[in-house]
Amino acid sequence: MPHVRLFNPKRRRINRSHISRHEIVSSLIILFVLTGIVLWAVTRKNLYDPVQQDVSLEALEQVSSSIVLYQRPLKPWQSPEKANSSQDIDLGIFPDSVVSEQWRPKSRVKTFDPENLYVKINGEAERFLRHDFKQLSYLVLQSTNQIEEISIELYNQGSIAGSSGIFAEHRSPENQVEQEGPTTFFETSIGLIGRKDHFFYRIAGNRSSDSIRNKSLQLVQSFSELPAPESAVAFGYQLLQELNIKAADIRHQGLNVFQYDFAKDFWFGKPETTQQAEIFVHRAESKDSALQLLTRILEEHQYEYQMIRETENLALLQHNFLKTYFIIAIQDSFVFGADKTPDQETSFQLLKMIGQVLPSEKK
Amino acid sequence: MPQTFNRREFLKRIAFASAICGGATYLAWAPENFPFSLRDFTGARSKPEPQQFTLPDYRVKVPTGLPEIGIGRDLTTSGRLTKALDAIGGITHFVQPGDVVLLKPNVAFDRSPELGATTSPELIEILIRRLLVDCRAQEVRVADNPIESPADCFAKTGIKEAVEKAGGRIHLPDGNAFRTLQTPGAELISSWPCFYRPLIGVTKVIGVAPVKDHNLSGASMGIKNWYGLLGGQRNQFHQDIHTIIADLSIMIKPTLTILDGSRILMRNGPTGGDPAYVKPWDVIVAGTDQVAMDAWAFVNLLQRDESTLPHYLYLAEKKGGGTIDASNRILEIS
Amino acid sequence: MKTLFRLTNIRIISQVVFLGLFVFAVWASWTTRIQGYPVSRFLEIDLLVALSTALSTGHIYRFLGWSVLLLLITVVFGRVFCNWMCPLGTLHQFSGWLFNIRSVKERQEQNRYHHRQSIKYSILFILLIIAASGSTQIGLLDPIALLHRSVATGISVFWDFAVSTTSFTNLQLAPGTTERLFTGSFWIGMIFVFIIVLNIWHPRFFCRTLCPLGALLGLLSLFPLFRIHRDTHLCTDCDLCLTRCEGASSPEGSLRLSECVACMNCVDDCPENALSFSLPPHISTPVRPAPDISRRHFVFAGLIGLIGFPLLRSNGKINDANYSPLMIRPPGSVAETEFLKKCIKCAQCIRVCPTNVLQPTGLQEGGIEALWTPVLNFNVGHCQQKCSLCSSVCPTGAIREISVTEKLGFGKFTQQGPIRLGTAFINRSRCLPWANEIPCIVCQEVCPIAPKAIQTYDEEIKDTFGNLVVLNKPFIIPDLCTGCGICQKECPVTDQPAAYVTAVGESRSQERSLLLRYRTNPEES
Repeated sequence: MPHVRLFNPKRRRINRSHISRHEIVSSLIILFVLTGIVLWAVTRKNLYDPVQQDVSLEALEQVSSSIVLYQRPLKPWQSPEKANSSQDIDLGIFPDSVVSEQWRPKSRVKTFDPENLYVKINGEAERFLRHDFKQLSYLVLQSTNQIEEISIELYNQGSIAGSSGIFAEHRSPENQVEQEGPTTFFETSIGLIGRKDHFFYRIAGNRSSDSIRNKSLQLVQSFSELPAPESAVAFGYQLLQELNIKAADIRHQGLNVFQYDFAKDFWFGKPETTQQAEIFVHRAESKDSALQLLTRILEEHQYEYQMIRETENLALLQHNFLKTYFIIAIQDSFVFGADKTPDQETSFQLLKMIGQVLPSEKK
Repeated sequence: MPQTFNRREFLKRIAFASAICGGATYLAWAPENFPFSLRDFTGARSKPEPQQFTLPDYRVKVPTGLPEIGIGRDLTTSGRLTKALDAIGGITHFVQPGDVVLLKPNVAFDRSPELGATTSPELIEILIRRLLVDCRAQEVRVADNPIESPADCFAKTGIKEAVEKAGGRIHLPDGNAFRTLQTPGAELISSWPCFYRPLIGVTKVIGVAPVKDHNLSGASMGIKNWYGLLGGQRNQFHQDIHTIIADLSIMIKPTLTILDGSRILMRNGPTGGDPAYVKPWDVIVAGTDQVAMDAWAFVNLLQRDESTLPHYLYLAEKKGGGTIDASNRILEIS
Repeated sequence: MKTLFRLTNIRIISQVVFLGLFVFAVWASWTTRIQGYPVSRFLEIDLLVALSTALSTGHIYRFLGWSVLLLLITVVFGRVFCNWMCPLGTLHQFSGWLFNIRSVKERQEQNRYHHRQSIKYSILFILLIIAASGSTQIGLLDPIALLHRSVATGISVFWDFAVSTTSFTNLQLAPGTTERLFTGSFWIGMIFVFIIVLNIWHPRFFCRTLCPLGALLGLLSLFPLFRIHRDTHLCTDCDLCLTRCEGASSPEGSLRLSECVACMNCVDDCPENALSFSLPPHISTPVRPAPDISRRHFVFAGLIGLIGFPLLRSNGKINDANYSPLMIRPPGSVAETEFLKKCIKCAQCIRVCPTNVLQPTGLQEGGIEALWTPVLNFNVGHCQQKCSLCSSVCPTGAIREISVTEKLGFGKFTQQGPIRLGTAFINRSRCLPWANEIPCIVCQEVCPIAPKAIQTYDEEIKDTFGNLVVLNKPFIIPDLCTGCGICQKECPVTDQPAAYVTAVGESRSQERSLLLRYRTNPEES
């Protein structure tokens, strides 16, 4: 192998002979400076703040527990047989009998409050709100044949006053109204409209068929299971019922009675004996306010009606054009009477009838 | 003058050629069990064999008549440790002079000790002093293999300072510190890399664990503390967390297990992070039955219902890691 | 005895001291060792770093003002830094000396001035123009930055591995960790080895031809107080002074002031005592101050510099529309364009990071402009919660110094919230509970936030094998997630983790934010 060196063979050889004193002094100074630098570097060791690399307990406690997260519950295993049945859909207020083998919920039950009712029924919401609307439960059922669907709108109108009021607005004279207990309903071409206690419902299929009709009628049965209102039945409703007026023919008007803004909260009933006459009952706060109301009604009525007979707590008027009679009286704090009666005799008859069943005021 | 190519030269060269070829042929073709044979027909011989080891049984029986589990209640760490250990026979019964002791605390995160996610440094310091002074142990080692930076974890939890003050020695994990541990009877870790270096020459092992909630297993206490000795791809085990914890209960048979109930992590475990999740308390549990201690701590310290005992306790009991029911084997000193 | 206090001996001592300080600084750049040591001080006295960042940002950050010391030394004594202090210069000199087997004549030829030594001035000029345009690229060739980077990413792994076979673990650069890795360390290491090895054929090649800091100091040492002075009366033109001339500065003729690195070897080698390092007696003694750069060099270098910045930026990745999701910068980093004005690729942050998550970028994330700048790779590690060491060692403020309290958003930083590096996401097609009906939930277990930024949809199902299992299917709450990456690090689907972090939602940049509002902290923007 050729003889080549690996490392530098040359020894350091100094050629110069003279080293000045300045050089020696500078060397010493530089050595001194170097030592100083090393000492400086070494003494930097403890010049730091360990707090920089940590978070103090106080800082942690300041924001402690300020964020709370919602912990979803575990979704348990459901065997397939149960999953197919409708038990997994929460029906809310609807009775279980609403769904059946043939009719399954298409989607979950949707509920609407007075604030967002318009989202569902747009401008119609106004009508329902006027009648004391509380909540709408909306459910769509689908037939197993997947073609037919029934949509159910169940309105909780808060009281019989409300439900009868909105029911009356839906009802037109040609509808054939049926009554079964507290339920009143009439059929439409694709379903039916009815009410039970304080509930009002509209059932509509997507076409007109027998199966839909049968289901609608079954739903009426089903709705009879709906809970009765907790609040006491309004007196007017009871009273008119006592006069043997059918529930279907009782209605409540909360506002703008006779188109007067001061007249509120009147119960109307249509006795079977009359064609278009309606009797009405109103309970005022006191005897004085009843008298005040009577006075004001008569005041307004004089523009269209002609006074026939008037006493201190009774008045009989006849409409200038329609020639029907309007009779109104007060007893205690009750204001009652009949509207659109055909003749005077009927008016007084009806008046007497109401007066007899009016409860006497306990002072 | 050039050398003639005579017979001697010829024989020399033949001998040289035969030696080289013969040697090479032997190395490559001799059957595998012959000495110096390099032959590897199937490739099995060149497969890397990880160095293996097994752990001895470190257990020491409690003195007859004494319960296996002691509970100490006191306002000071030192007081409750004394009471808990005295209930089962005193520390000197378990650690003899000349023992090399390994302490396995929980140093899994760089949390400060007030957050309850790691073992408290005061307990470690007191324990090491007792071992070195009272028991005259030869050496006390402290080791853990956290998933976060080991240097940071030991520093920020205060354990490093505590150990150095008390005279122990910390072993940090690095690439060369792991060997394959054989655990017969284990389902998932019958053969798994374990933090080996601190275990060399150790005669007694003590686990010192905090009591913590755990989002997956329900609780992280004495048995789960041994997770910190595992290496390799141990994050796979969360697919069957209860089985791995049950395996841990038989992987190592420690001399003692100590549960530190001075700061109990009630929620958001195992990492914690908010001082509000920590409940300061006054209990230390020491004993030789990890399963029973975990069961007791789950009900009494984490305040959970007995009917919801974590599944791993039942699996551990079945594997022989301990017994859940502690009724006659427990003594509380307050 | 008297020959002991020669300047060359002192110079060797000085080189050893500074190299030792450098090695100490590198050794001490570790979480348990750093304490108060100024481990980035070499970079902070580096005049080129100060000048370049001053040009690109208009300001001098924090300790970069210490470079005035170097300025003072250079203006008074010339390029003493290069041969008395620079650790890379020491390494070059040593490797050039160690294997040098040339004869005296050959050595003299090697040390004659070569016109290629003027290249470094062009390099300096180009780099300064690019810096002034808004991108700091001096880190590629600055000797201190290059040395720090090469040692931290190229050499440290092998050093630690070698030391681990012994029991001197205290000598390891990163003790108590499993084997660290650095992506791209091949090229970084190779370049370093190359320039060191090159000294065997061309002594001090880097220092004479490439070093931009040397060029800058050379320009500053044109009117020094002290310099090598050749007494022409004593000189016999023997050329022996060239034998060991480190700077190739023609001490035998007109001394080139900009090349002389004050190694003092020529003073020792002159048998006539004609050379000395002193205040020159009069100014007219032969000396050649200016470097050999002509106007052509100047103009061409200028042109290259001017197109340099647009070329670099043309990779199309340094913008807020097409940025790489992997461009996750360390906590405390400033926004990207400002970052690239400051980062000198010194890899100090990468060196000090305890979890090995900081890696030098390749070309993928941001092209050459961002080459070797630090990004977080969460497959390798995660960002340790209570650590902000990267921000305290950064010499230029590319990573603004932050306290851990600021990083986590506590104390007086509660309103602005924590520093978010990015946002985690769950890849449901790879997550074991989501895709495979296998329980897991490691990601939630290791999440350090309180309350956890990973919550679950818990469902009990019957899996394919008929077993009833409870699946915890994770989802991220981005309002809480700080992008620390431990979920990605611990996800068992290790090759392409199901839980992964990308750069979107990082708090250092308004344009890269993800959420309109933080439901857990309405005051955070």
